[in-house]
Amino acid sequence: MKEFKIKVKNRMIFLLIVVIALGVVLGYSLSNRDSLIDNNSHIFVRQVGFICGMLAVLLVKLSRSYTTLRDSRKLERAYIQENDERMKLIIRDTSTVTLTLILACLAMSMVFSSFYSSELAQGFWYSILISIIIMIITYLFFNKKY
Amino acid sequence: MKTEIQELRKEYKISQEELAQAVGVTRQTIISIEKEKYIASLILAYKIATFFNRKIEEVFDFSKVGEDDERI
Repeated sequence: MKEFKIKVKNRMIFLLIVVIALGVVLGYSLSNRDSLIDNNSHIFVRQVGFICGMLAVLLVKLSRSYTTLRDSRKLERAYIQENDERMKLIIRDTSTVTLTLILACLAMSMVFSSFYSSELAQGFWYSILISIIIMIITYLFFNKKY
Repeated sequence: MKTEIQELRKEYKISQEELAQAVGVTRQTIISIEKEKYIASLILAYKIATFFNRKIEEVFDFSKVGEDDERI
């Protein structure tokens, strides 16, 4: 449990760093709005909205982690939730199926987009290629680990 | 995989939540094992068997291993 507490603390520190970094980016974006807007004001608004959303989610996560650290019962529950083997299996299977579906969707998108735009098809092709390279590297890593 | 967990729980008058807490898993995992939807790992099976002072093979039925349990 002590190790888990340290793990939660480390996660909180990491989250805090991300929140501060996002805050700095948001502050910079808003203070330099005039020079950043140009003709793409809708992109700027989307970016600011995305950062605000991210900040809100991270702050909620941060406050949850803080309350978990303070309450020993919550900490124990969180520990069980995180180390529950069924939950781990669900997460692993979800990731595997999601990745497979994403790759299938990318492959289909590449085929269909090639009829309209070769650049778009090339983009999809690179995405598939990078995903497969990452998969191979990850596979080799875990093959060596276990 | 068929298990005797439900019967043992009734015998010992223990709830799913209590068993789950004792072996360090969620209540949902105990439910899934009892419903034969999920097969416990060796460590969890050992913990559950030890909790009831039984041997693993007395709690878990290994007679059909390999027939329909693809996760073993």
